Amino acid sequence: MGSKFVIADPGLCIGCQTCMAGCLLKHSAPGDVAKPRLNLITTLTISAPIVCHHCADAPCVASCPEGALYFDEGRVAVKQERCIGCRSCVLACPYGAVDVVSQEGAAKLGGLTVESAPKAFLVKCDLCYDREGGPACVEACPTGGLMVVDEEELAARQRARRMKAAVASGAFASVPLNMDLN
Amino acid sequence: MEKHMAVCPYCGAGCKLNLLVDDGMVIGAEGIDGVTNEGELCLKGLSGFDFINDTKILTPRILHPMIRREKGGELERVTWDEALDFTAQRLTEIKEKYGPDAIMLTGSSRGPGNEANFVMQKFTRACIGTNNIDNCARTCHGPSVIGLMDTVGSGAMSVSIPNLENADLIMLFGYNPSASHPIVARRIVKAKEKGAKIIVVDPRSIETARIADLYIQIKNGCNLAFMNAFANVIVSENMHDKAFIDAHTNGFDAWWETIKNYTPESVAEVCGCDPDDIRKAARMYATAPNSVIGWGMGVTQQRQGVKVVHTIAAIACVANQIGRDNAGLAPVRGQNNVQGSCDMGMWPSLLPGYQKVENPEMRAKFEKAWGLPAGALPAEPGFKLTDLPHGVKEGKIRAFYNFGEDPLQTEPDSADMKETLENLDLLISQDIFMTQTTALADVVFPGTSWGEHDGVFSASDRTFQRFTAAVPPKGECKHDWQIFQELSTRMGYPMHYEDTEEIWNEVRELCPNFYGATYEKMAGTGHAQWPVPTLECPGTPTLYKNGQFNTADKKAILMAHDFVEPTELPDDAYPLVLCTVREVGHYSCRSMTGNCKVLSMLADEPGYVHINPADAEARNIRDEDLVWVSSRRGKVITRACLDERINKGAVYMTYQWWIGKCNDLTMHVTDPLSGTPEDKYSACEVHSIDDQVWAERHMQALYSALKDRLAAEAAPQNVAPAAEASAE
Repeated sequence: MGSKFVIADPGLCIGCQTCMAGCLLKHSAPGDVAKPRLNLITTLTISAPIVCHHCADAPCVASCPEGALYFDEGRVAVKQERCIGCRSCVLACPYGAVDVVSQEGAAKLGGLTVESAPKAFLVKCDLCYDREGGPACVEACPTGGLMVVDEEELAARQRARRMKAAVASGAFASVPLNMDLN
Repeated sequence: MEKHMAVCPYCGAGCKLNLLVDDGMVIGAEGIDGVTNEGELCLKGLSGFDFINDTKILTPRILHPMIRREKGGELERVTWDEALDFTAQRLTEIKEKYGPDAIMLTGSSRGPGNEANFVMQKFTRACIGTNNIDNCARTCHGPSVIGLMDTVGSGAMSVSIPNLENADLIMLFGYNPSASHPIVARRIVKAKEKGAKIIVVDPRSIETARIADLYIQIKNGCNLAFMNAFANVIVSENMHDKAFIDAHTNGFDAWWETIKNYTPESVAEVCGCDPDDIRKAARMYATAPNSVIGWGMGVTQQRQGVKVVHTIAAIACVANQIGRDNAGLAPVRGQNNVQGSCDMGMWPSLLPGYQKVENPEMRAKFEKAWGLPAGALPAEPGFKLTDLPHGVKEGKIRAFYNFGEDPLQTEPDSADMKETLENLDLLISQDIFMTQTTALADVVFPGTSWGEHDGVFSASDRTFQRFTAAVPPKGECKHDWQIFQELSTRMGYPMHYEDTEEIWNEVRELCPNFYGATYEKMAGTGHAQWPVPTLECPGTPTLYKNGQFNTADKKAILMAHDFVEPTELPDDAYPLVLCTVREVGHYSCRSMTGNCKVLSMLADEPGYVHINPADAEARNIRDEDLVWVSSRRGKVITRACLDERINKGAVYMTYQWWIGKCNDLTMHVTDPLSGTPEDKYSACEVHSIDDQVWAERHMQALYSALKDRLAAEAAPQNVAPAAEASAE
């Protein structure tokens, strides 16, 4: 699968929105849509930006009749020119991490620039695939509260949990274990 | 692409950064390894740079001097010579007719820096001849400055920002670092990661409450009752340090006479919390090896602000939680250079370096250095910034020189403040933007922006750091210190500084505690934390080591006071408490951050009133609805945020919004000991609006009209003066 995604540690999140500012700075380039791809959510106990998980079996990809969403080397990517603004992906995404906005497009007619009909743009995290140093939000977070979780990170976490579980299993060994080995 | 070293202009954390410049435009910012920020920036530091480029998102930069020849007339662009001559003449007339004390000035705790402020107060005292100079600390941490000078001797943090992360316990009392100083909040998260205990005492369930070991939700306006009970527990349960009290404090017995009456049970109703939680908090604080109390506007913008600061200082002293690297007092200053304004004597009773105007030896020292005859410097403390409204009403203040502040946005009761400013004989505004205050001015001086000049800022923890210009001044903008010295020279007291280093060296010579803070020491990411009395001294991160306080006999003075209720309690007509707070992505009056693309996209008018869902439901208000908020002072439109972190019976509005302007609602009542407004407590009501479509249009219309009006006020600067135009 090889998918990866950005996720926040709600213990380290201070709700400051610096990730959103970093995202906006990255995406306010000409031709891009200046909207943050992550959104800070706060409840009584949680503060955390919510962002696309680049799901391995992404419902947004399945929901798009035009193929505007597709898998590209482990991330869910967008072909803007195919988006018809139907918002099926917005309905399908369980994280609320996909948005569709319409902006006045400027069309060229020969040498003339004319205002054209609104053009739909699909706005979601692209993992800053074209940015040196990886996702801007992860770099911006002042508490180090955002991380990129990839296969390696998941595997490392699994190994650590399994190790902990194995050590704990000593408590119910039917034959006493030699604790002097520790 | 060029990189220019600077210090972030947005809060007292003092984060070092590089401004990235391409083709004369500031195009980015990147954190560098400063002592407080270690390379990190918050959203304002990271994306708050493009206002320098005059984006006109909110309001235009001022690029040329303008004057209003007649009260109520139009602004007119004139040459610098004419603007300065006009102003010098008007100020001289007012001084001759009404005396020097009819002129009031305010320093700028924002982008200008220490040197510009020093020259302004020198102009005020040596040229005009008054101590009527103040700064916006009056509206924020004034009670901390006063309360700490009264008790422990220095009006500043006793610990440093980096050392916060090594404390064993941090108690936040009326302080929300995640919104005010994200880079300080980062230290608190780090402290928690290292095993520190965290206590949060606040009516709102703030961000830090989520990682607190103990969160006590108190009622608004109960601070002194709570802190008295907290102190009571420390002594009642024998957790005070008697040896330290005997050796290093005065007044314990009299202090206890008051404190002994405040048992936790006696304040439980006023504070709205479990008395055992007060006990638990006091035990945790007093028994931890090293504890820090951090506080903010929740303490200071109250009726009894100074008295609560006295009590906090006394608590730290009796528990011996002061004078060590990781134990002490942390009033974290709001604006980037509000510590600096106080350092530079932008204070009606203090010369630079906290040297009292009432002390004849100090005045004599300054008179000699400034080439003045003996007795020339005024000995009487001047007016406070919050004396302006009644000072004008009583005809005592005739002219006001506003330097880089926007009182019409940031001071309470804007309608009253507008009348005050309109009733002045002369209003001078030296700013970088056409703000609501500048739009009323008779003289508009364009200063250079942060990013266009050099200087030194003082971070909240007394750390001096240098910042440099990234781009040349725009239009005819002059450095602030140049404007002051040219005006002073015209008014008969010549000043001729060449650069900021020359000014800074004069500051060092006059202020013994700053002497070792040379430009050389502060090059690059260098810094100097005062007191820094010698060239060899690396700076002093921690005050009051070994119980040596900065009072006359080196002992702390313990002061206790009885609790009184806030001034305007809720009633049937206005049943909710209104508390003003701040926006994480905007700064001060918003003239700078509101002109930054990313920051204005993240949060824009009319802002929000945060309300508990139960209070909203009772008023038929849904999340994101536009609503009216009304008080005895006025009525504004804003957006409702149904927020379960908010205590019932209170609502919170951020003070950055020009349409959803909470200061149209607040009340001009001040703590008599500091003159600080009671912004954290007044009564209001929130009303639903049936026709939301109309409300959205109405709000947009108000916003457009305000922006258009400010643009129109600034427009005359685009018309060159007649004399200049014919010469071209």
